[in-house]
Amino acid sequence: MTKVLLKNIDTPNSQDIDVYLSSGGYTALKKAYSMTPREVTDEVIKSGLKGRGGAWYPAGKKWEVSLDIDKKPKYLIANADEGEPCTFKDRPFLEKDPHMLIEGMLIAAYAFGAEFGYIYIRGEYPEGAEVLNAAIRQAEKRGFLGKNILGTANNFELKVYRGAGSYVCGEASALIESLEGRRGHYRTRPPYMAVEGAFSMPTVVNNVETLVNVPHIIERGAEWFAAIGSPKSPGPKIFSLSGNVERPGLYELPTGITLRELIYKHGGGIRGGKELKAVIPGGLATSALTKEHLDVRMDVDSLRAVGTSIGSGSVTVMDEDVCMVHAARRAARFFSHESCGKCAPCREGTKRMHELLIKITDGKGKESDLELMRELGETVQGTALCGLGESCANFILSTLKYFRHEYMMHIKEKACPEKSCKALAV
Amino acid sequence: MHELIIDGKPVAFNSGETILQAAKKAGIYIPTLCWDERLKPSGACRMCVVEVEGSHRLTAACHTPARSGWVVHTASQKVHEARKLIVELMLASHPGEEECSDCVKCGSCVLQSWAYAYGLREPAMPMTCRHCERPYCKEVCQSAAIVKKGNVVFIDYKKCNGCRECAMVCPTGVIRWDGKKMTVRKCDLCIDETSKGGLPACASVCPSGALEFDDMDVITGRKKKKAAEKIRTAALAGNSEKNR
Repeated sequence: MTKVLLKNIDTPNSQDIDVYLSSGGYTALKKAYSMTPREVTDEVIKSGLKGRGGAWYPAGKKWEVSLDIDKKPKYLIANADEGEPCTFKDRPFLEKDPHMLIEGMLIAAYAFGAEFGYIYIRGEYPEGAEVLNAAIRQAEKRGFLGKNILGTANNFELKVYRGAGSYVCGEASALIESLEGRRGHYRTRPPYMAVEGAFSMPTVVNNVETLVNVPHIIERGAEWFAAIGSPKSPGPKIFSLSGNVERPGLYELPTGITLRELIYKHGGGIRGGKELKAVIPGGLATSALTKEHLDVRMDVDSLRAVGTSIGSGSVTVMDEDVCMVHAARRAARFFSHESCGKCAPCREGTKRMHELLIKITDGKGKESDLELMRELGETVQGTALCGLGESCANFILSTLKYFRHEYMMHIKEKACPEKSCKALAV
Repeated sequence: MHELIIDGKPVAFNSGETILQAAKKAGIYIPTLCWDERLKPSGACRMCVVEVEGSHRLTAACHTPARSGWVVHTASQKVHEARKLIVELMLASHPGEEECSDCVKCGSCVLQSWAYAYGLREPAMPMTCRHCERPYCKEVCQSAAIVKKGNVVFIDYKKCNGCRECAMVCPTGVIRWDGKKMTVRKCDLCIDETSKGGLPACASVCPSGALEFDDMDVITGRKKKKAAEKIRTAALAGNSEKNR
């Protein structure tokens, strides 16, 4: 498949507006301006584009809700707070192809009538923020941003906002809280963000990867997009492949390809010719799979059927030498550190799960700890306030499900076969 | 008006009302910690989780708008299991069991009552006869053996016919069957001594002050004063730190 989203990133000087224009940039914007906002929204709904941040909510549906609300000003926010471990799919656009994102935002803003936009970029991407700022200045000079864009009556002002490095701020309402200058805490819904979001105004928060798909949908039509990949969650998808593979990196592939194809054909197989032990299909907040699941298709429904989810599409491969208990411990550390602390189950539960995993990897675990950990994980899943809290135990529970024998080795034999747990290394 | 079913009971609600508001109107109790009717629901404590049929997750009643046709369970096994663990998690970083009865909130604390209800903590309250204002034991006694004299409820053992109905209705469970004397027995606050201004036998021999004999109000008043003093000292310490 020819690259659509990543077509520019290998071009020298791809951040420059002239390079972007010479590859046909901003033509989709002109086409969008010749349509009515409703037509643009309908086109995106028809294409079946779903939010690429992890929840896979239909992107056009969010716009439609905002479009129907007669309140001004409206805000559009690009969520570039890519805080999940192993996820780096938005980074190429922020650092190498900022104009594709800006064009996508301009079309989205036109579709539901937003006049102000923010790109909320994670604090750990200083280069991306710099590139975006330079790109915004360029676009303003050429009349793509600001007042009366391309001689029409459309206005759009765009700013870059740098986060301070928080996983939870990748959640739409926490992101808005942070943008408004408060602590990044989840807001209870309703009111939904599309009705009352940033500064109490209708706000749409879209993932960067969702927005970069928009110019291509407008340019080539919804039918083109809907024909790519799985019919229910179509389109090109950027998979960030990492871990023990020969060729880690970013792969733009249609949704619905199998894990085997991604890892063995595109990723070059397991590094050093080793065996595959586990694979996380969609970032650390999704359940891991084993080698029996290699033929599962990478789309929303197929992955849900095997008890996990596509998430952000960040595939992490673990070979036979990875200690799953140690991996679970590291995941637990991340989630207990990044829990915002608002709701009790996530704040306390992630902390206790981390404590239990430290205990087990230090060789002080008991068999009853596993039952307690499962109970904790399931309660956090079932009762946490936000989507991030809901998914924080997924990976840990899946290691418990598929690799219980490794836990038992740590508990009964006091041994870590992969020699990852220092206290147990013999 | 719309209608949903909470614990098998049809409940009417106005659109926009949460499950909690609907339940409150219907007199169905859902425990809450962080909820306050004067504030916007924050959904932080998760004590109010309920089970909505058809949803794989539990739903927080305080900030979820009720929907027509929903079937809600507020006390299913799933709800109790989750709630128990939430309480347990909160208690894990909470002052210890022994401090519970020293706390100003003791007796009116929702967290404490659920901790007791789920058996996560043992009540530190001594289980002696409370000498109830309206003693059920006296009301059920067939032979008029139980009498209330002043503030003291006591049993006239000669009259007791051993039916044990009083033991069954006693809310604190202090009335016991004495198999040797074939009567029920309970603390009579050593009425012979206390009527003369003395101490009951147990309090008179207690060397460590664990048992004392006074009016309930005096004891709780002292407890509250102690807690206030603690807060004051902490506040003063905080201030002096700031001034430095």
